[in-house]
Amino acid sequence: MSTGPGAVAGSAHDGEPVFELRGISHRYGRNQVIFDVSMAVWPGEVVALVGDNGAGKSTLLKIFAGYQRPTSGILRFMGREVSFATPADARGIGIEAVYQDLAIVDQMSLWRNFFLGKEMVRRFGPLHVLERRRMREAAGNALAQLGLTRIRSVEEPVWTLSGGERQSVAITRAIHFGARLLLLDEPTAALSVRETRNVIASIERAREHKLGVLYIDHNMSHVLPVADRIVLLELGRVVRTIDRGEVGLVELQDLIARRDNRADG
Amino acid sequence: MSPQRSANRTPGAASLPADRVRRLLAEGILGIRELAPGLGLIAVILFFSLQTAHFWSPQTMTAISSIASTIGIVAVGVTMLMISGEFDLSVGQNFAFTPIIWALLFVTNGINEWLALIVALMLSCCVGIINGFVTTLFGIPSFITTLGMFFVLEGLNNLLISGHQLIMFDPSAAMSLLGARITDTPFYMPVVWLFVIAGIFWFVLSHLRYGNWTLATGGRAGPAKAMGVPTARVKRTNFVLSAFLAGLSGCMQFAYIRGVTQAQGQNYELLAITAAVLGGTSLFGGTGTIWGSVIGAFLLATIEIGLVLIGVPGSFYVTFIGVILVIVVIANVRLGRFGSSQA
Amino acid sequence: MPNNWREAGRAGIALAAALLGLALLGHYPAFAAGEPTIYVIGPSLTDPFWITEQNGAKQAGHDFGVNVVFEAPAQDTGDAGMVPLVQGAIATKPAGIAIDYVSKTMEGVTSAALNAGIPVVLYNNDRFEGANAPNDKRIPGLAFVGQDESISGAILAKAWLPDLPPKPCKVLIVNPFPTAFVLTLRADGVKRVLDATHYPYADLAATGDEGQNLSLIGAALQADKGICGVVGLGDPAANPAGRYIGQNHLKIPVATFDVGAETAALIKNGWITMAINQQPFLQTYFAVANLANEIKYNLTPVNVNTGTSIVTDKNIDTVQACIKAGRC
Repeated sequence: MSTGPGAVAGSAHDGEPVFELRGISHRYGRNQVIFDVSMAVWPGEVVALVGDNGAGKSTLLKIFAGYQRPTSGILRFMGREVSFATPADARGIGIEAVYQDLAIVDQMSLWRNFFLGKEMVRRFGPLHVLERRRMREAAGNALAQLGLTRIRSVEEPVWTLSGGERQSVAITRAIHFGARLLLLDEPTAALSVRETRNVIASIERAREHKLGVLYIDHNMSHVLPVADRIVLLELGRVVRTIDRGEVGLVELQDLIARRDNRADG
Repeated sequence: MSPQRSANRTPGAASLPADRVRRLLAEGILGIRELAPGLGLIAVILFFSLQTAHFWSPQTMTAISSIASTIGIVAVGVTMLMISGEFDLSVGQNFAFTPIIWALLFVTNGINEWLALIVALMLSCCVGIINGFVTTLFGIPSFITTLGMFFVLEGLNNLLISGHQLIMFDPSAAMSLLGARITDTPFYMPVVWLFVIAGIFWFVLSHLRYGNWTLATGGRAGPAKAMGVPTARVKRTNFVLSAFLAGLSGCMQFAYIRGVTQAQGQNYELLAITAAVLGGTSLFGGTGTIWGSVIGAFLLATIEIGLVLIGVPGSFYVTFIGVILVIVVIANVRLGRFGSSQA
Repeated sequence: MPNNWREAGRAGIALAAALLGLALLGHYPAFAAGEPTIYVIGPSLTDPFWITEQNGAKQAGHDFGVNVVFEAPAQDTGDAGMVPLVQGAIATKPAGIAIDYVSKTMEGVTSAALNAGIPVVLYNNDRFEGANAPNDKRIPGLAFVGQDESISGAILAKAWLPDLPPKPCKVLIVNPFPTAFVLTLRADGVKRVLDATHYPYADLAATGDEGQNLSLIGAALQADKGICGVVGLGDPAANPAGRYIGQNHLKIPVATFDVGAETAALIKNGWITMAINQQPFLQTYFAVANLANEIKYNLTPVNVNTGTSIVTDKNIDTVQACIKAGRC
């Protein structure tokens, strides 16, 4: 069942959405980029955010993640209104973002990356001493569950991993930290077929863990098999919401193309 | 290790000896990162030991250790800052500024030496605070900010001491603490302080949460910030560390030589960076080693004094260091030491 | 472990580089066999004054049949830079060491040399006044070759006074190396004389680069028309002053310390009035001579006062011949 622009589909879900935007608008200086967007993501639901370049997808994702404060509008998490001063606030309530540049620091080892910003520490007065052994073990266990057998040791710096492995590490990190909402920015960009399958498998695993997943993607053939719902964004506005199974690949691509053509003619 | 075997064992498990070795190599006190500069230092020491019978004499030990400790302490601060992705070109002038303030207060004006020392060190921290805020708040590259501070301090030093020298040969507890001889050895207190300070900051970098934050901030500041690391605060703190250690080292040199002029510390900003790079710290941030910088400082000192021992004129020293530095940086970049894109 | 192989590779390259570089250095013909070695430690490698000092040392080594090693730190950090170099020299147990005794901070290493039984001669500076008085009684008894910077300033100023207008007017004192405190000693000597004769003065901090100094001095002279004389604490300051004054046909006398080829030319055409030649060449020459004679023939070192040579257009021709021979 498809819905028109702006409306939030409520009847197909029960309970509160994990995260909801209501009437969000955003301006960079004098340049308005988001116009009155309302949308929501439910637990165990995978929502794809699609649209052409400049549609505002990344900005919206950053607002979800607490990296950007919207100039107006309301954010709601598990039914409660929230606002984020920093990304750490968002991480604090269970929103984990995996950005296009991965929020992974190449030169650092795997376990340091895994616990970046959420280090296990033992306090001695003002000193926060890292519990390195526990973190190594935890990171190792999480990765083993992922089946990343190529990684011999959590000591290795992350730049030795392939793109798909890094994506999977980031997603695993997000799941590990008890995320409720997982945000992904172009997770399959520039990956091989096999690596893309791994990433999609990670997304499905997140869904199994009852996380809400919101991700941006350009590639419609990646989006269709995974997404429960597709939100089409154009020039800062939600123009169409499509449920799973409603359209096929060709039709979806036409929809987006027609949107582009409409601007021309 | 075959894939099948490793699938049965989680990558993080602490059990096998191979893993423990790997862990020690990665982040122990003398790990794989310090291997290269350590070998270089051993080679240099071997070379000079073979060239001259006088290498192991007490005076050589004194000379090398005094140069290494003054450069080394500055280098530790500069290393922390470089790892978090910034540079401090004002350390050389701060190295003179801080003891000048100290000496002006307690030698010329008779203020209590400890109080004067604290005031001087606080002022050197202020230099770091200013560097940090200007760089992070206004987004100016630290190169420029600290270069500006270099000129400010250079002018201030000239105003304060106007080309004269302040000396202090009366007994002084504070100066003894910082620069006295360790009885019956050729070594002076600055060497002890070097190892204490290096030990502290090695611990900070590898065992404290702040160290993780420093590595992340320098590695990729954007992602670090997105993961919740307070990157601006980390950088500002490291600017203060860099300035403080430079000032402290300058005070130690004053305590050791018992005199201070505004000429002391000239070029130290470049020597400290050189020691850090020779020791394995990346110019691009995100990775580095404190003990490596200590080794780098000893490398510089050993080469400088070694050349004196074999009678080579001083100009060779700078040329030699310059060539080694370029080779080391090329080797680092070529071997993909510094990050993903070169891998 | 791709990462650790990389590290090992880097270690290997660093090691090879270090060994190669040192091997090349090892072929440096440092010591002629059989000849005693004398170390001369100075504060600067690049200052023209100190280059002349190096020439003197080298010539003396040649003339007296000794190896001379002149060491100075790469950057002029004064006594802080010289102290470890003296320690290094002591370690080699040389036939003698020449030390620039700029202040009491040099006492430690001088005593250490004497304790090691190494003959020591002081040169360029021996400052024992006031707080600098050494505790080691042997030190004031050491031979000294040179002229104290603080004395040279006074001598120059006294000789130059007749060239200034009789009514007291402002003198500009230009310092090419503000961080080198020995230049401050020169300035202090000049200022003592100016104070006694009631001439006011102003300091100008300049650089070691003559091009920059030309602009700095020009600006200072234009800003203050009351300046009636310029003292350069070294040639890099005096030469541009002389050129500016000469090219603009100003009637301002210029005095300077040290005389190189360019300064001599400017004295000859009247753009610089007067120079005091501390004869840096002779300082190291006679310091090395002293030590060579002591080690070879047991002759006791003697004091040599190398200063008080005032250079004006009247004796410039002979001085120019000296400069050409690399001995001034």
